[in-house]
Amino acid sequence: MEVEPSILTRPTAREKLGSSRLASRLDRLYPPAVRSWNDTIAPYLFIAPFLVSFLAFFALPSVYSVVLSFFRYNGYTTAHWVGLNNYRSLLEAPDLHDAVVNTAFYLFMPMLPMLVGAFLLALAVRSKLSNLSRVYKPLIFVPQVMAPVAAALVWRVMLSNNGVLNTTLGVHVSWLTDPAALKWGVVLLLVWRGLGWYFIVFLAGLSGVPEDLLEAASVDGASAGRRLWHVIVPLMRPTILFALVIDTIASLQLFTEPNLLVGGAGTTAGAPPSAAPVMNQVVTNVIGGQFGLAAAAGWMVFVAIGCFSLIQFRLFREATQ
Amino acid sequence: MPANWKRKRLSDNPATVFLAGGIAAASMLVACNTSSSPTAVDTASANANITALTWGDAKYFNTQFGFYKQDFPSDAKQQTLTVTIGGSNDGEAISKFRLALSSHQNVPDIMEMNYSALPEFASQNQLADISSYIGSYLPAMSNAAKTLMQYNGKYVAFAYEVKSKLWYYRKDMFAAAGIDVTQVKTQQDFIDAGKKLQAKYPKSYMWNLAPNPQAYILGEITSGNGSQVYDKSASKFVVDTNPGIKKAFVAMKDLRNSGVVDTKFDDFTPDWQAALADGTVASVPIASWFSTFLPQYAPNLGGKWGVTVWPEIGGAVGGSEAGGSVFVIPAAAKNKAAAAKFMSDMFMTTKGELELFKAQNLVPNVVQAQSDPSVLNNAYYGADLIKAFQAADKDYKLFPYDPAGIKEISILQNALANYLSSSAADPSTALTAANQQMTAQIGNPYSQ
Repeated sequence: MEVEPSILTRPTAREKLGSSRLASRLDRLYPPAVRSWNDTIAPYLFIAPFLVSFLAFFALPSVYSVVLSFFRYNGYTTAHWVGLNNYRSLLEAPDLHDAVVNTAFYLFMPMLPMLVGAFLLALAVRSKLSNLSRVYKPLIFVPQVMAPVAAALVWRVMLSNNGVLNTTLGVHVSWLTDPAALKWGVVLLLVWRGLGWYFIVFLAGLSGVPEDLLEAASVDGASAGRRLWHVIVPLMRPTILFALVIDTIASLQLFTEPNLLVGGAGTTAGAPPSAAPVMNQVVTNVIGGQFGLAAAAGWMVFVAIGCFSLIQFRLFREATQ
Repeated sequence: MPANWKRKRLSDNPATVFLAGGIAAASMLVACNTSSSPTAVDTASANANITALTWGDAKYFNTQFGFYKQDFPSDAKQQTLTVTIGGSNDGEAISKFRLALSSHQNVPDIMEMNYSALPEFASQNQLADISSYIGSYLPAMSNAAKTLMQYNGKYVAFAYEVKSKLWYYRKDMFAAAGIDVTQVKTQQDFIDAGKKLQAKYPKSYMWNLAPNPQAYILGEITSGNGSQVYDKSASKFVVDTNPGIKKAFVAMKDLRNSGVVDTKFDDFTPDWQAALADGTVASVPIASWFSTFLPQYAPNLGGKWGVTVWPEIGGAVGGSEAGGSVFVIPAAAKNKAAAAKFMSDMFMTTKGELELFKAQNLVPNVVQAQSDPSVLNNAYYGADLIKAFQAADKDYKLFPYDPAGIKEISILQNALANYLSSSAADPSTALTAANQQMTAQIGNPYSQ
């Protein structure tokens, strides 16, 4: 059987010409040495924009920040080697312990209502029962379009003592100052904002579920619940994994929402220790001119994100197998 | 030789790819860094393009420069001003300034900052000594402004807002409750006055202190009671042993527990603004800048809000808030003379300060300007504002900020929030933790 040559083994246009007159004329106009050089350099030129920007703006700064995490450096004077002291002092600081607990709270508490809610909304909008999906889709996605700063400021008004939430529910909760309620206010904001994003993600995932498979299951007598659990959810597993990983990364990098909602808007005061996320360790150290500490905190967040992502990938792979 | 040898050679040598990319990246970085490093050439004032770095909004700088061109045409000559916004808050602008100093690129001629950030740059000799530019202007300045312009006895800044500690109170409500502010001299007097107020107005408070109060409140108390974070002579942090800081912490907790202070909302929240307008908060010990905010929050209460100096809270007599807001000229600035002339004319002369008072309601730091009829007859506060401002001038003090001041404030503020939200009466645990954190993360503030 004749095998189609791959792009690597296929003869080039010049090689197909062999030793014809056209080939010799082409060789005079465009010598093989020049062609050879062009063939060599062209691929690099094509990838150069990405490679240069990747190296300049990601790889080199990343390596630099690793090095920086072992120094005490304010950005413009001499850097002092401190070894692992930046990491040690961060790990020993009570602020970091509080921030880790808060960040875990912001990761796990909104996760279930946000992802399950978005999934159910996507199912509802995609179902045959909904004939106004063109209206619902943008409506549900609107909070995601709003700038986080604007959203936080609006929620700041809604969660104030005399705000909409307290008035509607008839309660007197100090969402913005009571240490016991601060984080729940942030969770409300996160769910409100995230719902639309994961709704779109799940809607895209649902479009990949073959209709004929669902119809076949229906013909076989599977109820709606069984079709959801035994057909849709297994086929959506990669999408759910994607949503989980993205949500984890976003939660571990959370900064704007808690600081603007329960910190001092219009001032430099950030969220108090009872509500501050881990990213505050990075940002406050950058503002304070402690770039070594900021770099160390950044790498700790990076390692945490890597670990969480690996665990999630492994759990889902095992579940799939 | 196979026909595809060229392609194989490429794919067999991935190192070449990285080498080429590395060379390209290095070339780019070198190209980025080839512009000449700035020299501290002090050009003549004419035709200079003065550059300024600030945060938030450029309109204030542009307004000031507009007045400069209009009122001091011979000094302004053909000068122009380019303002760069370094971010939405002072911290972001400071980061941008550090970047400029690090790269020696785009070092502004004027940098706006809070005094709490100034020691970091002054101690590293990054700020120009402005003594030679301001000699003739200096005698006109208030005590507070002169204090704010210095670091270790050297003039390195132009005073923008001195942020004196002023106590704003509802004159009508205090009068009805029988409170005489001149007799409110101590913290206990303040609490007693609050009880009198609540006897007349049960739903009103003397102040609002949430569990995470604004950092400026702690600064206002610690600046006047001898607090110190770092003992330079002993080369150690003294947060856990300094009596001033402990007094400030305890005072804020005592006030929160006194019943005369609202503990549910913080400054700059919708609740706060509403409370100032409806009499729920009938007095606010705060800083001089608040005079520009109050008329916005309570526009119908003109003439009903009085102003005086703070009572002694947390053992603090006088002081200021985070030092104040200043303009500095970097040592590496290109147009130092032009920038200094602009700053001196606008912030150290009666004419300039009165223009800014009219445009921005900025209380003048030039003594003569403070007695101008337009300043004395303030539409909202009458003569109270300037009288209180002048009274606060006598006891104006700066907190002894060190070069790691921004980081220290952040740690101290977290310790305060932890203490205020705990049931402990003694702040020692929170202060010891803060001291340990400063020691571990800052080390010696003077050898950063």
